[in-house]
Amino acid sequence: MKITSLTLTILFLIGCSGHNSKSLHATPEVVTWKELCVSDTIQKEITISNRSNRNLKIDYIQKPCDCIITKFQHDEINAKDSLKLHLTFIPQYVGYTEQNIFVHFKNTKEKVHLLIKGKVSDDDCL
Amino acid sequence: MKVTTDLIFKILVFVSCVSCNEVNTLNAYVEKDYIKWDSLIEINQLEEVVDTINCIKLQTTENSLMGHVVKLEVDDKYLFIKDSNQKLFVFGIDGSFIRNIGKIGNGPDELLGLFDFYLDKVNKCVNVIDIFRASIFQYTYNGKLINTIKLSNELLRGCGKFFYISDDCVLATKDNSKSSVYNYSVLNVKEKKISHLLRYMITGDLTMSFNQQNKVCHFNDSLYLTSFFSDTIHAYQKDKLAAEAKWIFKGPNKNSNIEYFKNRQYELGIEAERTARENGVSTGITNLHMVNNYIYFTHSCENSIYACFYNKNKGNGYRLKIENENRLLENIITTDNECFICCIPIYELDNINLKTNSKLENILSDSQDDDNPILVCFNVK
Repeated sequence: MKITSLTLTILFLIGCSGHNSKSLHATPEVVTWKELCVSDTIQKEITISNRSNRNLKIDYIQKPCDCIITKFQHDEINAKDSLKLHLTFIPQYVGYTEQNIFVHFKNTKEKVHLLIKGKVSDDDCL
Repeated sequence: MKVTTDLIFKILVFVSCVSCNEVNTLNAYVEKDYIKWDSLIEINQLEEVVDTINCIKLQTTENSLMGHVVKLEVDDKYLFIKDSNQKLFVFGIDGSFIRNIGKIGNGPDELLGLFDFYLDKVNKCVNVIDIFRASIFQYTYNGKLINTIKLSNELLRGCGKFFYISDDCVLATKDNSKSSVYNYSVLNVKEKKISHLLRYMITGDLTMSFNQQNKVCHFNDSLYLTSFFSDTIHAYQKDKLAAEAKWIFKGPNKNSNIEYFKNRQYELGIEAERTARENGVSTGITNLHMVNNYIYFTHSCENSIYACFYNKNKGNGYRLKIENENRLLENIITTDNECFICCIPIYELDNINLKTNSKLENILSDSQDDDNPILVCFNVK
C-alpha cells in the first residue's frame, strides 16, 4: 500500500515537471546574424503560437528603441493557432548589440520575450 | 547705574551680533559666482593643460561585451556601467569584469527593461529603474536583489535620467515636449510623492535631445544642475527641496531668460536655438561635470562648441574649441571627484589625439576593434 502511494507521488511529480505551463511560444526566440553593417538592416519573421484554448489579443509590443520596427498580421491569435510577426532591426551603433522585445497581451499576463543580438560592424564591411 | 549701563551695553552687543549673523547668512544665501568668459584663457590643445592621464581597458568577456556606454558611476573600487543594450556591468577600478546586475526576462524578479540606474553610495546599493514595470529594483553591489519599490506610471511619466538625492528621494530629468513644464522632478519613492524644479524656458517637439545631454553632476555629496537654455548652475538643497543658483556663466552672448522666450511659440525646439543665435542670446551650458578644482561644461557660440574648465578656487580657467585635436572632450562621461573620465570605443581611438601616451599604445596593440571601450582619466593643471 505504501509502495503504491509512493509510486503515485513520484508519477504525479514527474507529470508536473513534464507539464509546460507556457501557452505562448515564439520561433525563433533569438534573432542573430553572422555579419551586419551599421548601414544595413535585418528582417526576420517570427512565428508566435498560442497553445492555449482561448484566443489571445495583443496589447502592445515593448521595444527598447526606435531601432526596431514590428508589424503583425492581426492583433489576435486564435486558440491553437499562430501569427507572423515581422521584425526589422536598424542598427544605431557599431559594436555589440543586444535588444529585448516583449509582446504583451490583453487577456493574459504571459509575455513573449524576443532577443536580437550580434555584432554590428562599421561600413568597411561592405 | 553701572548695572543698567552694563545691561544696555550687553543688549547692544547681542543685537549687533544677531544682525551681523543675519547679514552674513543672507550674504551666504544669495552669494553667486560669475564665470566670466574673459577669465577663461583660450588655449588650442587640451594637452596644454592636462596634468596626468591614466588609461583603463574594460575587460572583454562573453558576459561583459557591451554596446555604446550610456552611464557610468564610480564608487569605492567599482565602476558601474549601463550600455545601450540595457545591460548593467560592474567592473573593478583596474577594468576587470566582476559581474552583471539585473536580468531581463519574464520572471517576477526579472526586469522588463533596464531604463536607468543610480547608486546609493551610503547604503551601497544599485537602484535600477524598470519603466515598464514602473518599479525600482534595489540590488547590493554584489548583484543580489534586496528590494523592489513599486511606483506608478504617472510618477515616472516623462522621466529620463535618474540621480540619487537621499534614501527617499531621487532627481529625474524630464522630457522636453510641448506639454512639458519643468526640467526636473524630485520623486519621493517612499511616500510616492512628486515635486518639480526649474521651469522650462522653452518647450517644443524635437528639442536638442535634452536627455542625451549631461545637465546634472554629483560632486562629493552634492548635486549640481543646469536647465535647458540656461547659463546658471544650481546647487540642489536637500533640506529645502529646491535648487539655488550657485554659478552664473557670463559668456559672449546675453544670458537667456524666461522673459525673452515668453511670448514666442516654437513648433520645434531647434527653432528656438536658431532664434537665440540670430539675436545674440545664449543657448545655455551643458555637459556639466565637476572635480575638486574645476567645473567643466560646454557652451556653443561663434559657430563653435567650447569646452570650459573653470577653477572654482581661483576664479579663472581655460576654454578651448572642441575640434579634431580635442575630441577626447566629447567623450567625458563622469568624474571621480579627482579626475575627468572619458569613455572611448576602440575604433574611435584613431581620431583621438592621445597616441603619445605609452600606456594607451600598449593597450591598443593588444586590442581588437570590437573589444570593450577604454576609459581615459585626466586631471587639469
